[in-house]
Amino acid sequence: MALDLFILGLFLASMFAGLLGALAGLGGGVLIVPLLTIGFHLDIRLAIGASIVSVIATSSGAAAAYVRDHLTNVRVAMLLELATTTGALTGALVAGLLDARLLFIVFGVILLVSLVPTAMRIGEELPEAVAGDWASRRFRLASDYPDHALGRTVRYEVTRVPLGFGMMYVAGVVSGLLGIGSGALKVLAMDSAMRLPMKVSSATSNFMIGVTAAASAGVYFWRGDVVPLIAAPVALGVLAGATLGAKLLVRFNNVTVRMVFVPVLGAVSVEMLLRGLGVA
Amino acid sequence: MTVESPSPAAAEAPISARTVELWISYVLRAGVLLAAAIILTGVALLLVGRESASAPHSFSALVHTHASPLRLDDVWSRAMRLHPVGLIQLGLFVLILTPVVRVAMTVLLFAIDRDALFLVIVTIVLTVLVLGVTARIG
Repeated sequence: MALDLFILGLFLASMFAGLLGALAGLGGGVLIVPLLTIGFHLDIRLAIGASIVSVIATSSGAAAAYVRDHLTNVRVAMLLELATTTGALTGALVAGLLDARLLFIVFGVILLVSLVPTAMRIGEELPEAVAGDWASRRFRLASDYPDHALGRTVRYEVTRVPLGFGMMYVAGVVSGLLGIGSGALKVLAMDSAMRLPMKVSSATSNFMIGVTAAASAGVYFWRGDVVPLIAAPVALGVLAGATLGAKLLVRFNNVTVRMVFVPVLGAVSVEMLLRGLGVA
Repeated sequence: MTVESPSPAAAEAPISARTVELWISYVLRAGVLLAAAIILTGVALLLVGRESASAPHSFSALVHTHASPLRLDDVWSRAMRLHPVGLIQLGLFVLILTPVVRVAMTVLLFAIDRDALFLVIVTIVLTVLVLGVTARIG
C-alpha cells in the first residue's frame, strides 16, 4: 500500500473514532489502540504511543472551554494530579517491561470494566446532603459553579478524598500503561467516591486527562514509541473527529449513542482479550 | 475590593484569579493549534517532496518500524532543517508540553491566593511532569 493512502486511512479512521468517542461521552483514545492493532496490524506499543498523544490533543482542546466556563475545580484537579501523574509514570515504565500479549489482555479487561459506568449512568446531577471530610476542609476543596440549566450558582462539598485519591492513582497507572485517558475511572472516582456534581466531575476529569497523559507521553516519546507517521495522522484525526462530535452532540440523544457504543466496545474488548490469549 | 466571592479560595483577588483562568484556557488552545500547525507543515512537506532519507516509503516499512530512543538535539536540529519527520516530532513534542505549561501557570493562581500548601502541591506535580517529559527516568 502506498504511504500516502496509509496516512490518509489512519487519519479518516481516527477521525471516526474521535467522533464516536465524543458522541458517547468517552475519549476517542479507548478506540484508537484496538483500531491500530486489530485494524492496521501495528505493534501494540506503537499504537499506545500514538494513542496517548491523541489523548492530550482532545483533552486540551475541550479543557480550554470548560476552564473558561468555570466548571473545573482547579484545586481538586491539582490535588488529584499528584496521584494521576505519579501513577502515569509508573504505568509507562511498567508497560516497557510487559509482554505485548499481556498488554492486549490488560487492555481488554480494563475496557470491559470501564463499560460499566458508561452502560449504567453512575453519579448524581446534584448530590444532596454531602458533608465535606477533613481533607476537603484542609485543602479547601468545596466550591461552586454556574449551572445554566438551573439558572443559578450551585455550591457543593467534597467528601471521601483519600478514597478518591487512591482511585486516581489507579486511573493514572491505567492511563500510562494503555495510552488511554481513563476518563471512565476518573469520573468514577469523582462521581461515586467524592460525590462531586456531574458537570463539575466531567469538566475536572477532562482537565486532568491531558496532564496525566503528558507525564507518560514523554516517556513513550523519548523511548521512540511515538512514531511520527503514525502518531501525526492519528492525533490530527482524533482532534478533528472530537471537535466535530462536540458540535453534533447537541443534536444527538446521548442515551441512543450509548446504546450503540456499549455493544461495539464490548465486542472490541473481547477481540483484544482473544488477541492476548493467542486465540484470534 | 468587595466583589462577591465565588469561592473561599478566590476571595482575596477574584478578578486576577479569573484572568489567570482565562490565560490558562488560551494557552491550552494555543498549544494545541501550534502543535497541529507544525505537524501539518511536516506532513505537507513529506507528501510534497518524497526524497527525504529517513522517512519510510511504504506501509510495510512502517508496520515493521522498531522503536529506537530519541535525543532532543537530534529532533531539534532536524526540525530546524525543515526535515519533515523532524518537524512532525517537534509538533508532537509541543503537544506533550502543552499540559505542562498549563500546570506551570497554575502556580500564578495559587500565588495570587497566597496558598503555600497548594504551591507545594503544584511544585511536586510539575516535578513529576518534568521527569516524565524529559524522560529522566524510563
